Amino acid sequence: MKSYDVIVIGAGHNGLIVASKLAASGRRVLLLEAGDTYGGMARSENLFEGFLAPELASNAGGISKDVVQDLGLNKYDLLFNEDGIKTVGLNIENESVIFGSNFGKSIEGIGKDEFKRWKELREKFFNQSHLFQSLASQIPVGSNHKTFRSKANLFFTAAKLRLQGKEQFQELLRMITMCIADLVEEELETSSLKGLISFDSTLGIKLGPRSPTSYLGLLYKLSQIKASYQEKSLSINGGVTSFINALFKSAEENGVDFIFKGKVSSLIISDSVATGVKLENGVEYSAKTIVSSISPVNTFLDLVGAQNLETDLTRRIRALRYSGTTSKLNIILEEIPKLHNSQNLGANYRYVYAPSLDSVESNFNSLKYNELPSDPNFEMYFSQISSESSLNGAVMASICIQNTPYSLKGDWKNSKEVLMNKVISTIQKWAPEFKKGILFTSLLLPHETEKKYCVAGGHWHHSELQIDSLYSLRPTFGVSDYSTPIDGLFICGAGTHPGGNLFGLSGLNAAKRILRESTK
Amino acid sequence: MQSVEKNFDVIVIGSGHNGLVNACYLQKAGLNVLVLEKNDWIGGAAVSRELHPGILYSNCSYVCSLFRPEIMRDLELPKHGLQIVAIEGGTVFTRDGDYLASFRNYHAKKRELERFSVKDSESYLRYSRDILKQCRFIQPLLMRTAPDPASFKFRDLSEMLYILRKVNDLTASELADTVRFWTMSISDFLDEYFENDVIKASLAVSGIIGTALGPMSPGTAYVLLHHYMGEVDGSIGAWGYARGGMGAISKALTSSFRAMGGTLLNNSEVEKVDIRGARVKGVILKNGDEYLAKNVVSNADVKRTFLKLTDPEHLPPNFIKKVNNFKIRGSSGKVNIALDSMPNFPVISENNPCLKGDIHFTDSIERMERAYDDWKMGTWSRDPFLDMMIPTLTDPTMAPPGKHFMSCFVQYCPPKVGGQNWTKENKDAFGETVIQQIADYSPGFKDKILHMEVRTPKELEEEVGLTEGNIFQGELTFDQLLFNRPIPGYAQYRSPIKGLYMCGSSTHPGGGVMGAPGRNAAVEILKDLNLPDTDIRDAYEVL
Repeated sequence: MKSYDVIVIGAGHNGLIVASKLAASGRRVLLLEAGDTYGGMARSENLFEGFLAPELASNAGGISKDVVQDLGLNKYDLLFNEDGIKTVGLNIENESVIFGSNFGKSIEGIGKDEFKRWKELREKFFNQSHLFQSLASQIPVGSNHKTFRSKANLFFTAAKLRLQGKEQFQELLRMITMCIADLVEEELETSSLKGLISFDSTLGIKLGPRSPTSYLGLLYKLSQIKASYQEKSLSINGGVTSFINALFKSAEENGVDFIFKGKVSSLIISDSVATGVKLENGVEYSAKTIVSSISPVNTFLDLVGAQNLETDLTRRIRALRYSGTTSKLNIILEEIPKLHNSQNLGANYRYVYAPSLDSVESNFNSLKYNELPSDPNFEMYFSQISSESSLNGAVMASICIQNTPYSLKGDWKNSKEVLMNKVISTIQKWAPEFKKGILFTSLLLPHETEKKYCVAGGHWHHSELQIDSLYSLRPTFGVSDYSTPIDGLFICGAGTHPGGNLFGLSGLNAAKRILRESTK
Repeated sequence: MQSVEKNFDVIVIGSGHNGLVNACYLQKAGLNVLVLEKNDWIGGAAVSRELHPGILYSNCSYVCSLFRPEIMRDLELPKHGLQIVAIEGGTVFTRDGDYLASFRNYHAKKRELERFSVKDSESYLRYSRDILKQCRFIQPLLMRTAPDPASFKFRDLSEMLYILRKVNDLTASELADTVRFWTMSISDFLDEYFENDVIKASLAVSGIIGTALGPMSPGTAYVLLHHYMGEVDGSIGAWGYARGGMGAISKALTSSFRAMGGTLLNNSEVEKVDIRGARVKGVILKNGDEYLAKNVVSNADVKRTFLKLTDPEHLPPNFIKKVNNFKIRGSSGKVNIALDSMPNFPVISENNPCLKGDIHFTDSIERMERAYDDWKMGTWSRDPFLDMMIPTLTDPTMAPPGKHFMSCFVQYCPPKVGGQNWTKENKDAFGETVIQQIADYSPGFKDKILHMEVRTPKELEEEVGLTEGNIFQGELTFDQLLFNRPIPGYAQYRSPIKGLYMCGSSTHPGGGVMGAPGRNAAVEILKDLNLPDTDIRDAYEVL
């Protein structure tokens, strides 16, 4: 049996970060990946006639600065350009609202008074997101006794917030569990602006804008903006692909061994100590430290197995809510379509169709009952396909559809087509030439994501990113500080604090935690 | 009009149960207290009224559990005629013609659950144990003024310390469970224990009653607690009928208040609180009368108190904005029915004790949530959730033999229909929706109706004075609980105006016929007046 210091399971971005960082400390690291390439849910797939592009992830805006600096990713051709991505709120009846980069620092399409109110509200939002931002890079207070440092950090975070001022602190305590609908309705009037904010607060989580605590979704997003290069309106050249490539190069350079198509079937555990892994093809590897970057459901129920866990933890893991709520539609077009008012659709824009708060809420209503939304909300990015490909000049529209049920009432067979057509005909309303230019479409539903990317429920964040599963409760009580009751087994995926999207802090925190725990 | 003196130590606006509790405690402490009530009956939303000859209606609140036993004993309410009778059981009728009964006897209840799911009947023990733990944690907090976490005053810091110590008493896993419980939706919470839809629906009821939230909204698990943390005769979570209808509570409180020498005036609607130079002078009535007092306590909700009864010039603009932003959402209505005879439910025998409790027809969480979706879109639920009671089965004093009073609490019912005021047609259609649902399960029901009173949020607002008809005087979401209730920085029953206090359900710990806000406000007022509060005993000291 081949032996390593560390085995990392899963070559998603968090897995790559942990592997690279631990290898840099001098450990011999093996990274095992079930798929045939690295990147996890951000990996590139052959979409159409040899054209490779990320199938699921469409935006690398939220990558943490800490991760880039800590791993020195700049030296692997990770370049930034200065035109931050603007968001256009598509609204047919009224003029569209255009959100400047950095979450609406400037806005086109609303009145002066409304902008003044928005400016104040935005500042409040950003101030409050400081709480999340400072917690994001901390290792949560865990269940074991070595958490004095974490507790002290928590205390200082609270004290810092209080020192921002009494009024602000009171507002934070009032607002933090509120629904985003109440907050925007207290201040704003523009329907499409409210729709846009509601959409951003609830994308990827199973809440509607009128559900209490949906404001947390926005705080999470804003804290990511603050922790990433978006705050300076920088975006990564080459987006997701160049970030994932840089991570891979970093891991490779630090001496990580990779095995692709090496799906782990179980962990080798004796007396609650993990000593190695067993692959599906029967090969075994041993290591003192095993880090799982796959979803906590897969880690604990499939790899560890209930027989090795206390019933309390098994019960908590089973109670996780991990059904995905978003689907991904990729469309390849001959060229960038023109808008009906003959403006160009640009590559530096994100288009959001969420015309009003009620539209987002009624979409969510359908999701609750596992039904298709009648008028689905979505966000869309365009990217030019590079000249090296045979599709020279073509563009890819990468569309994320909100509120797609994991298990549909009835059958997906015909509904898949229906969902796709609904989205396309909505786009068609702005871009009359859109349909004509379509070369290829593919829609990936949550249950298909589950299968293809080996993620239970096909959930972006591995499990719901809601108030009852944050910080010390993420993924659940007892395993929140990246360690597990199985000695030698750690977790580092999106299911751990601070959570999903292409953020990277779960991996970085876990790596720090492991380095703190053991010398080698 | 009877002649009364015009000078008092304290004036309480509104004779709701909290106003009366507050007045009793202050009178007991030696102050001269006047209670002013706009209606010609007493009790706000805790009333019994004879709306049909011989039949008493609990036409607003209809059951009792939360009313704190400490208050009952402090104010000697049993001596003044208050008697609470525990409710026997409850039942959910299902669409497939079956029913799920619940009984107070644990074994009977378990057997009944087993009929639907053996696994769930086993989980039920774990579930009730976990809920009870949460009740134990919160109960002592009900009878204490919430500390202001943003303040550095000694009393706030020491009260925070008290709470932190209580939190520290929990084990890490209990703490984790508590945090989750306070923030989860009742639907997700029940999913962790149960698999059967009917069982889940029957337990989710307490998570939505009175709130403008559906069972799938985060925070509703806490609302459940709000209906569980009460007790009858020391049995936590039990519910009871006040003998003689809910008005019996107001009656006993009034009797206790008058016995101590307090003054209560009906038909005296307050127009304005008289404020001179940033402090209270008294109140001016609609009829022009003025009563003087250095302290005025408002039992009205926070919006009515500060947006209607107080001139805005006396309040900081920031405070007014926050009052405006306080969420009071009418979400429920009531249909009160006098019946010629006991309605017939074919699947169940007339003498089954489960009919003595709450009767529901909503047999899945999805139906509840869809009822809520209708409300969100601005209309009453097409398939409403009903919480029905026939208190006359337990309390024969409310109706002549054979006749019955039936109380139907209806969720969800908006304060306005599609943004427009309620019309008579709307109201009739709403009543018809409710009656039809009952008739679907009880053949011949419509023929038994002697008299019927339909109450939408509009009537509740006009008659009782509850803004938007919200029975809790404000949503019970976390942004409006504890130190946030009603407004951050003003959670200790005081207002920006010296001498003006709040004691209604808009304040901590919130709604339900509990009496705790009235009692806690009395403690704070006595503190300001430098009077001893020895007659107000701490939670559980009397038990």
